[in-house]
Amino acid sequence: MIRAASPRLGSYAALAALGLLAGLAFGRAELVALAAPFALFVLLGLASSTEPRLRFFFALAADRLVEGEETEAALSVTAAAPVERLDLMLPVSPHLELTPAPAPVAIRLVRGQTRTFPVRVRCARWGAYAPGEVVVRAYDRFGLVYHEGTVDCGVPLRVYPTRDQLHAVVRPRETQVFAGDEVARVKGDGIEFADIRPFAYGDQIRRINWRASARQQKLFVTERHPERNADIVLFLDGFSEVRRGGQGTLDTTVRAAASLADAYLSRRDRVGVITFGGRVSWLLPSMGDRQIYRIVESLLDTEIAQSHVWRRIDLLPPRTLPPRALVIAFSPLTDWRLTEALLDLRGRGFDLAVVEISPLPYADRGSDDPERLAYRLWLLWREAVRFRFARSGVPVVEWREDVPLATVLEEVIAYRRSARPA
Amino acid sequence: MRLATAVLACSLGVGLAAVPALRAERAVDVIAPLAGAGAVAVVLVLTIGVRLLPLPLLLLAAELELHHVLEPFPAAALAAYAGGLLLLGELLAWSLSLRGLERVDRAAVVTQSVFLCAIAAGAAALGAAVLGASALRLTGGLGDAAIGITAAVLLFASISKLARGSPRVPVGE
Repeated sequence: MIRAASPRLGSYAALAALGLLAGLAFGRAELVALAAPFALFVLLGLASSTEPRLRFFFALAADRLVEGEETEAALSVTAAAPVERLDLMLPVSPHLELTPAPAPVAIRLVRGQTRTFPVRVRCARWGAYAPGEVVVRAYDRFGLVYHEGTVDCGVPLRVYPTRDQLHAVVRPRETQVFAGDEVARVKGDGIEFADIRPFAYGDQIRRINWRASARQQKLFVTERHPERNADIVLFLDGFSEVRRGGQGTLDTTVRAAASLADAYLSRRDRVGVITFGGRVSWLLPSMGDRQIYRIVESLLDTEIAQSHVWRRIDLLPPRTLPPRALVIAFSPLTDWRLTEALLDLRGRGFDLAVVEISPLPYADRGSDDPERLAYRLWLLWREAVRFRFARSGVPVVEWREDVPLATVLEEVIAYRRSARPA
Repeated sequence: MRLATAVLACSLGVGLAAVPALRAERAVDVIAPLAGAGAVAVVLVLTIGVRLLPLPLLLLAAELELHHVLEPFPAAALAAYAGGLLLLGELLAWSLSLRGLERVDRAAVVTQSVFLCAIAAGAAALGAAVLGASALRLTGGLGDAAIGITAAVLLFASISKLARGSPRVPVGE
């Protein structure tokens, strides 16, 4: 904490000096009588000033929550020495709502006294927080000198994004070698019927299709599609976001990524995450229950890092983008660097789908003609970006906030069903 | 709470301004404007901030001094006025410090009220003591002046020594 002087200290000292000087100069005792209390007040105030000895403790009933949930919290302050007046404020992130609202309070503490302030914390948005930072100002008896500062007794609070239940996900064109829920295009051991063909030397007897063989008077075997897993890479735009008030495209991106990761991992697919932007971060594809926690934890740290540096896809380690992986990109498509990176990925043969988190609800259409013209030009530019993706055979589906993620995925699935693979 | 302290400070300020103005028989046209300015300055402090705190105190002290020069004030009234001035300054500062606070502890209010009463009484007593001491003639004119100057210098040297390094010095958590 910082020791600081109240404005009264200077005022009283100046008044006392003026009064005493005038009293001495003019020989007026009443001026000295008026000034002396101020001088003595300043003297006593400075002499009695001591550093406050306070201990703060902030406790949360739960340190891991999902968006929209509430938990109990309590701020406790203990004074080892008396504090005549202690102003407290508990500033928190705007995404955490405190009940009662975090307004400053003034209290008095005697030696050894502990005061506790219970609050309810509602988590309005996902993220990693550390509530418990307290802004403190402690006055002594005369109040001429105070100690103020910020005491950090924060405890980590992780708020996970809400996840939609998805019944259908975008199916990758290619599968990997491990067993999973995705019916592979290739033929092999599996359940799903693929074709029948004439018996060849080395075929297993149990694969003979007796019905077809009896009809054709010749041995035929049944071929099947194996069930394999797939590699999914969730590619998040870290270059830019469009935000208005408490909502932005990044919030939607993270919620969608968490929902998709959950859905794919439950199908025993390997899922990885890449945040490509001013700060590049990645999580290697993996499967299992632990991976969903890794992904969600990494998503909590997702943020937009402003940067003008040109970034290419070469920056990413090769293992982050396994061959034959399905890359699902989430972006408001407002930064051309991400567009170029995605088209580069497509050029390298990756199976790519783009979910465009629409920035239009957060954008201002403009109030005068030049602004409206700029807005229309921007819309045209966005159309041109979408056209470039479409020309490369990449589905781009616009996602507005009021539409469920499942609907958006259905659009992607429909596009990929009708589009000819490049 | 803030409103109550502000009203109290305003009342005290107006009262302190009114006393010399109402008692004045001569030079009312000089004292009355000073009284008015002092009362306005009290309101200004409450509106603008604590930086203006010396202004009403200075104006009210000037009003009293002018009145005392023209028509001598009783010593007891002078001492009470000194206590009132310090009380006014503290009330104004307290009211301003409550700005933005959502809740104030009742215990803090009670102790602060008691403290304000105590310092007002103490200031009045000190004023009376100073006036009483000034009536003494210890060593004659020049010697008394030297004692007064020495006392003032010692007082401010002590304040300076205590205040040195106080603003914005980190003292740890």
